[in-house]
Amino acid sequence: MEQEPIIAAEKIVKTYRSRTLSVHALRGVTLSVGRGEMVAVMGPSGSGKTTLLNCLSGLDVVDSGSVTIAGQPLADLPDDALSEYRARSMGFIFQHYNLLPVLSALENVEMPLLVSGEKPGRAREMALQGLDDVGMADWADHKPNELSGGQQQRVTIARALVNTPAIVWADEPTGNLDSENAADVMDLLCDLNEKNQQTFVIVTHTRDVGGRAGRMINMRDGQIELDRTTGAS
Amino acid sequence: MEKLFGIPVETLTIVMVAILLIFMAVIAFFANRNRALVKLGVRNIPRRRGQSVLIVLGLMLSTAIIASALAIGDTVSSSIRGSALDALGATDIEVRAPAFVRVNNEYISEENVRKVLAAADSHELVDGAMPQIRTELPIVNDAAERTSIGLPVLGIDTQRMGGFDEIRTTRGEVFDVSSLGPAGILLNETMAADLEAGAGDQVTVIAPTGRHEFTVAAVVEEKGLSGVRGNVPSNAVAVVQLAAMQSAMERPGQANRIEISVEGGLRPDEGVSKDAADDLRIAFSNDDIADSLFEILSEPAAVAAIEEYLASNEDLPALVTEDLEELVSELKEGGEPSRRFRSLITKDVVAGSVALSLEDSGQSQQAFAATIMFAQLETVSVGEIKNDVVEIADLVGGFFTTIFGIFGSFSIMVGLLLIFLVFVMLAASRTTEMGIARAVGMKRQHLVQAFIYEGAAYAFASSIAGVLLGIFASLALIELLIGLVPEDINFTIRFGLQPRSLLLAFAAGMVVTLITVAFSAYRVSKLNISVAIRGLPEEFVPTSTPSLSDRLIQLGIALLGPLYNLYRLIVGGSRVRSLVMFLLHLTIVVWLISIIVATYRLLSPYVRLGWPVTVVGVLITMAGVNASSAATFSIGASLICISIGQTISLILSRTELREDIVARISFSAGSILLLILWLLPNNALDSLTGELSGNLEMFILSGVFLTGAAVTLVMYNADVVLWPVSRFLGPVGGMRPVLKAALSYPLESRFRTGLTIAMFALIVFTLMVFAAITEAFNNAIVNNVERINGGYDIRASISKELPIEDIDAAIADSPSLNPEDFQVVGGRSGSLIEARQVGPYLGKEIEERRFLRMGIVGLEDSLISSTLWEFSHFDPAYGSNDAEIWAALLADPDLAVVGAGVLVTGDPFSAGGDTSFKVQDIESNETGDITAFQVEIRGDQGGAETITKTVIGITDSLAFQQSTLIGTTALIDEVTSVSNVLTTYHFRLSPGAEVDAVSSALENAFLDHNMNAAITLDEINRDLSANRAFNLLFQGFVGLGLFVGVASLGVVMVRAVVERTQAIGMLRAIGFRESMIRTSFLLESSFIALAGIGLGLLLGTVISWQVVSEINREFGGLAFSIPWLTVMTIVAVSWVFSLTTTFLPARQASKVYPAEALRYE
Repeated sequence: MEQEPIIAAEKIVKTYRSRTLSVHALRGVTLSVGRGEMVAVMGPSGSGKTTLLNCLSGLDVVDSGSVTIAGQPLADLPDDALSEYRARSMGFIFQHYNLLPVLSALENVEMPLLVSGEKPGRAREMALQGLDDVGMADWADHKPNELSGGQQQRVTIARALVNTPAIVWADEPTGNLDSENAADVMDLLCDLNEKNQQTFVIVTHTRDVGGRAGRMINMRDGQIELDRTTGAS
Repeated sequence: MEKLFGIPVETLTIVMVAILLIFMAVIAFFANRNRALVKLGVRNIPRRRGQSVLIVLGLMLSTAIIASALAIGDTVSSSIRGSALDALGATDIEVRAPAFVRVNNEYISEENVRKVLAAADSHELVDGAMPQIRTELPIVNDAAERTSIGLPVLGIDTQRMGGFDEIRTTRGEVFDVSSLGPAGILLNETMAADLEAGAGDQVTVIAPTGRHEFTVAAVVEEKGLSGVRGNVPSNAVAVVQLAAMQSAMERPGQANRIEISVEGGLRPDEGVSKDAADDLRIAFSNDDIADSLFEILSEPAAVAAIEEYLASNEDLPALVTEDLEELVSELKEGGEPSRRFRSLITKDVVAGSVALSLEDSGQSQQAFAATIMFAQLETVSVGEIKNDVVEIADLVGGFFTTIFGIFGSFSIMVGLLLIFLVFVMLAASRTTEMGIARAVGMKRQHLVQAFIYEGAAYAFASSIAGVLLGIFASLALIELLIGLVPEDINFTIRFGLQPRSLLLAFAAGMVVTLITVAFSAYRVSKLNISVAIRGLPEEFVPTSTPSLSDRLIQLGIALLGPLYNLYRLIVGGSRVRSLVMFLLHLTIVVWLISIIVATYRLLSPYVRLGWPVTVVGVLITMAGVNASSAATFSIGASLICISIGQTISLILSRTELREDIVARISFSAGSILLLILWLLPNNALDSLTGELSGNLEMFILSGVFLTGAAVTLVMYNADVVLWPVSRFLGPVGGMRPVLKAALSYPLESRFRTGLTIAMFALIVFTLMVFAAITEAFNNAIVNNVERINGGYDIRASISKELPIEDIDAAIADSPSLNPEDFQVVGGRSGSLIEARQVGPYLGKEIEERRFLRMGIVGLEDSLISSTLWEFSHFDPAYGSNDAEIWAALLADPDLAVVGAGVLVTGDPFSAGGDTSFKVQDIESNETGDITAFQVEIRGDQGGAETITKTVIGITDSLAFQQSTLIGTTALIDEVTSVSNVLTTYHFRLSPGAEVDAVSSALENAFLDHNMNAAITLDEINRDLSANRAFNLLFQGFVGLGLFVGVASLGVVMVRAVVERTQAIGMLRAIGFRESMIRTSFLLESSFIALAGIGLGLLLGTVISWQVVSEINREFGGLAFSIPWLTVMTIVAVSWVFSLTTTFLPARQASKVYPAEALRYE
């Protein structure tokens, strides 16, 4: 099925420079992702997977080329508008969870809703529902350091999905989890993708995880080596 | 400055430098043994240069405060010393008529002048003696229509200039004094400017013998003989030939002082001066009387009496104590009276103290005999004028440093907290690194060492920077002071910082920094390896307590300190370690710290139980009550409050309640109890405890306990405190998530946040208390002018030698004065008497009391019947209001009133050794009705007949501050043989009269009497502006502490940005805009700063309100008001600086790309 692209990248280049060294993280990557697609970006360490995710999601800027999200070139968006877009239409899942340690699980999940201007009462309701969806409602009042890795990742997923964003970006979502927990998390992501038709871009180096996505992009040395559908979804 | 906190500065410096050297030697020794650790420690410094600079800035503030307190003391000392020494020139010793004679006649007879000059000339240490008459006489320059009033005219023997500085003209040329003819006069610069006169001009000196014309020979410098003596309002002096003055004053061959210069030039040589003065004292004291005095005083009972006096008067000035101790040792030696004994007994203060000690011990007869002998002992009195000036300068300088040191102690404490905070945070940022280091085999002591090497490098850099900053800060403060000293105050401020003080500040700063660093390093090193590697909070580390026997052994070892290490050194084990520990323990500081730590470890398991602290608290409280010590009582009571909190915690922890709820309840309970205890009015518990006495230490203790309790309460209930903020700010433009992020972090790190809040609170507390009390005093003055000046617009003094026969007639006769301008005119005279209270009083026999010195003031009837001076206490049997009491005094010659100085006050600032007359059984703070009491009075120096007066009232301190007996002018005639001359006049003007014009007209009209008229309102305003100047200087100094607070906030925020980089990335990822990140950091720092400022202001207001209320009970007329301008300045300055410090890190945080922030580790 030909899907309408929600993410489109055209010849994007990103180079990291230090005083002594230049690392070409992306060398003219072009790709498009359709609405509701679940894409796994794979490749060995240093192949540019995370950089691609950061550049596509607007967390980082590209040196050249263009990234368009839902028809809107990111380069044209001022920082505030981009932040607002992230708040309303994107969710992020990180390998290190990146929960705020001083907030409870519930408050962490609630945060994106408050940023998008949701009323506090409604935000709390939605956050609780989000935690319930990932099986963490009983742990709502616990702080991150009181939760296991798998539990923290579930909270992160709840936070990423709580405002039903159009795109969910996941950077090694199972990287810190054992295989059982990793499988649970992937089940959860696949279910949500199926249920809500949200677009998922998942960076991973685990073939099992990649295999669960409908499309798999392999990267090497900052370029796309292989882009194929897996028929998983 | 020679002494600080009563300890010689030199000793302090030597001790501090010695401690520092031992510390440095130990550090160097270990560093040499394991250089890898040094590298490990100091490599962190260049790694993050910005952070290192910030650490040095934070660490240097304590040193800066110590340095500036010392610099201010040195400056005050060198200013007083410099001004006085410049003015004295070569003069070292001053010979005058004996003190008891001077009251009647200050002149030395012709015969004695000759004898003194002969003795001086033949003394090998003396290189010059100058007889002179120095007295205040009016000088008129008719041509310029200018007059000088109340300024000294000096007659010098122009043939005796040897040994004294040459007099130089303002152009620097030496003036040949021998060319000064009998009609020639020299004017120093100030006098010439006052009179608008120059060389060749004619001026008229008005003396008791009439008007004398002089021609100005030259305008000369204000130094040496043409300089002023003593603390006088102007530098102006005029110099004529001694013969001319003798004739003008009708004192042929006489002098009222002989100045003597000893060898050694301009700078004082204490020993030479003392030796020469001793010889002169002995030469001019009566040998037989000295022998008899020695006989009386060397009796064991008399020696014991003096020793007892010394022991029971601990607050005597050091100079008196030293002299008395020397006297005792001379007396104990027995044999013949020594030279030193003969010299010592000629000192007034020694004579007075000896007589008092004999009376105190019940040896009244001996006391009486000694008093008579002392009075007849000397023909002339010899004063070491230059030595005295230097001692006074040091005393005042030391006083300033002490006051600034005490009030600066909060800032220093805050500075030390900052050092601690810096190192705790530094350690927090390296926890993982340190955990790994431990995991790969580094020992705990290695971590401590590495940290100390790094800390020592910071301490060294920061101590140097701190000393420099201290100098700059004190320069700025002194500049401020110079700008504030009213122009008409004759005092030149010279910046002076002795190298010794610099060394002391550096050593003290570095020692305290090193100790704090070592403590932080030790605390930091106690990490749990796995917890550290995983970056988990320390609360996950289980704590184990050593057994009781182990803890007892540890305490024993700590108590033995150096002995234990010496033993280890001898018997074996790690000899190097034992040697180092032995040396460290010798510094006492380390020994003390190890005893405290071991005691804490021994007791801590019991301390956690609560009840043992209660027991200790109760014991200390009881000890405080027994010793009537407010500080001991309050510390004990505070421990009880804390222990109640602990007990609550212990009980609740056995329930189902969550841990955080238990902590909230127990900490809140303890804090609330502490707040209640320390905020109770001072006398609230008097019925239980009896009256407790406290001093400045209570201010420091209350500051520490109150802020500690208030900050704890706020930290454990911050959600409640901040609820209104969230409620009102939350709905404003997406602030809710920003507020959540901003406030969650500081509330999570209670210790760090609490510490920073406490820093602000302590400083603002001090500023607020000082400002509010000054404001109350100033308001009291502004609102109670009549209570100070009695309702008289002008107060004028005249020379005793030039009395006015009948001032009313003189005013009527004067063409320049209009009698209609005057509503009341009255004069007053004064002298010294001795008095004692006699009983019975209030049904009790008054214990036998000795005669003590007090002033006496005789007021003319017109003053008594018109004055608005008020009474703090009076006997209602004699009248129902102030006016009726004054009327009773006028009606009955047997009645008198007294000044407020007769009351014993708890004034912590009053100097020790006040031996003036005091009244029994009347409390200074219980104003109102009293029953009249009897006093027996006699002329000064005893001997005369005694008379008894009934005292019916005590004036308030704004009217008469000293211990003074006040009555009609006849009272003085009754009690003293001194000629009763009215030397002060008070004038109340009619409505519409121009006070400036009348004041000038009075000076003109009574020029021949050297009348110096002052507008009382101007004098009051001058006092006020001096108060304000000091307050500003003080606020500036304490304000340095605010920079410590601001710096700590900066450190905390910079650290926060680094620690939270990933979180910032995450927040940006979920939609936080740059401005939201920035606002969140600014809100966080504002919360900390404003919480500290708010608490400081609140507690400061309550405490100053209490202090003002208490003082008001004593003095009346004080009204508490919040100094809004100061409050707003404090809030604005500290908040703005806090925001400024936070702005850069906040901006840096917001500018980072989210992806970059998320990558940060």
